[in-house]
Amino acid sequence: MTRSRKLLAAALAALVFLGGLLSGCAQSPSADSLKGPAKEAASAVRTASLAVDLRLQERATAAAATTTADDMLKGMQSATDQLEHFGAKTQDEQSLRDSMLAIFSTISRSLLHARDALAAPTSAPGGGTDLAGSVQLPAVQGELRTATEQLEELMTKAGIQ
Amino acid sequence: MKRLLGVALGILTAIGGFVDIGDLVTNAVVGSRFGLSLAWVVLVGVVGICLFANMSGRVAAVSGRATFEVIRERMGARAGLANLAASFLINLMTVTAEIGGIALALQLASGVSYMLWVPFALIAVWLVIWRVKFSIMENVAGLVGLSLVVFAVALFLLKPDWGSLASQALHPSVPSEEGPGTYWYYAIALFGAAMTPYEVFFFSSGAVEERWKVKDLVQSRINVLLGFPLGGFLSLSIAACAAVVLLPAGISVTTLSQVALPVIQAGGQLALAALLLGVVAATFGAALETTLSSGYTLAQFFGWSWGKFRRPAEAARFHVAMIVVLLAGVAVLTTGVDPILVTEYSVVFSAIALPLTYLPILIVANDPQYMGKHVNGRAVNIVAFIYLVIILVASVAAIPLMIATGAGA
Repeated sequence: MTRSRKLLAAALAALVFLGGLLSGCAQSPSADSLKGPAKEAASAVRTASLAVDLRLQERATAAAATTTADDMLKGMQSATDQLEHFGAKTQDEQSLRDSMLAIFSTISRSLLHARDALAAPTSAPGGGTDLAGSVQLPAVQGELRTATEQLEELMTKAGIQ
Repeated sequence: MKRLLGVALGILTAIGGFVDIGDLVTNAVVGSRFGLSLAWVVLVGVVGICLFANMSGRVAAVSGRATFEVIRERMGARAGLANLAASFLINLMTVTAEIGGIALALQLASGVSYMLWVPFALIAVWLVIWRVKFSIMENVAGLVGLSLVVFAVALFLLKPDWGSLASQALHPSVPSEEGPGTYWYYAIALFGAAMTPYEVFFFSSGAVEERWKVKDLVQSRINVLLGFPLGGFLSLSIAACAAVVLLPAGISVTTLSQVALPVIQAGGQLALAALLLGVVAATFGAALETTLSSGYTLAQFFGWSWGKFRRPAEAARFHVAMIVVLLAGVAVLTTGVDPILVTEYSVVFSAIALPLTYLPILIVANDPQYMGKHVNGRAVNIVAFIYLVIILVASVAAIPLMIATGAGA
């Protein structure tokens, strides 16, 4: 083995060792792992709420607001997937996970409602005779706010900031 | 008068062309999570890209050789090939991210799924590369990209607490909700977003395309030294908008639609229209640059005939390489991978691979055989060596930080 190959092998071994060490130091699968999905969900529902607000003020276009709600729905799906793969070790973790899943389901439902209301042809306030969209938006906003409050309450209870 | 107009056009193009999907996303992510506490990195990145572009432009103008010709000559075929592989992969990631960025902006404008816009973006990019003159292509994309000034306008309309923003920028600290690892990971991402290697490949190859001579160096220096810092100011405006609206609302940016929210809040639908125009122009311009850069790096390394100043039939392999890169980027997008995620990784990998291109340019810029009397001066060399250290540290720290923080999660 030439000197340069030895050096290369040593460098690779060091890199693998460092990678292993850092992976070991990375977040362990504990209640702390719930922090990621919880924060992702909180961010998604707050974003959708802001998008609905901006649409109600006729600042955002229907396309932009609908795209935002749709993006947040995908984000919720990803957060839910992470939560479902979380292996709870204790009864407390299991209970927290279940409560969170229930709230995630509520958030997903309200995001779905938000997307549909925003995509409705008359989603802007005072937009046409069919009141489907314009009536739905304030109701959907209320739904989103309630879901946000529920999640924030649970996060505070679980010590997730 | 004509010369003055040329200088003004160059500066405006440099400002508009500075921001791409990497800058848009990374600055908004950082603003929404860290406020302006990483603003100093934008400053470091802007000085770095000015230095790097200046050296590579000078090397191209004086020696008549673009970056990858120089790399192959100075580093030899084997080391050059490793360099090519790394640079080409990052270019490919960036092409993918930029095409995804065009499609996402069009989705935001139309409500039609971005996946349906991807083929449209591919054809549009290819047609422009195939048919449009280099100077027109560069200037139009850069000038329309200036619409992104809407971020700066939005920031004023939002009436922020300027004292608080200044305090965040001038007294940087890690926010309580974030760890130091994440802070430094995003510092590297922001640095990589400002100093993407493709910008330098494009800049130096563009110098050869436009047949720069030593006398053109003054204008190029003005373009870089005024245009890039003003482009950096745009980057800071993006981060500041996110810091003012999204951070207090507890929103972390993960999508392009979230990047637009502060602008919509400040300026309504008109501001949104300007934003969308700017994002499409910026990502489209960057898609052109990265696609061309992929062709440039391959052709320059293998000694193929290259350049848009040649007819496609005279540079067939160069053009075929670009078509293959575009198709590969689109193939990646059709797997359903999130373009924003690709963007986030591409800026970090840009930082990782940066020494591979920076070091050869620094060596050649100091070589009298290539540069004659135009070698780096003492002051430039001091700054250049400080940057070499910064670039090496960022490159070495990026992967461990990526693993430790779960890619900044």
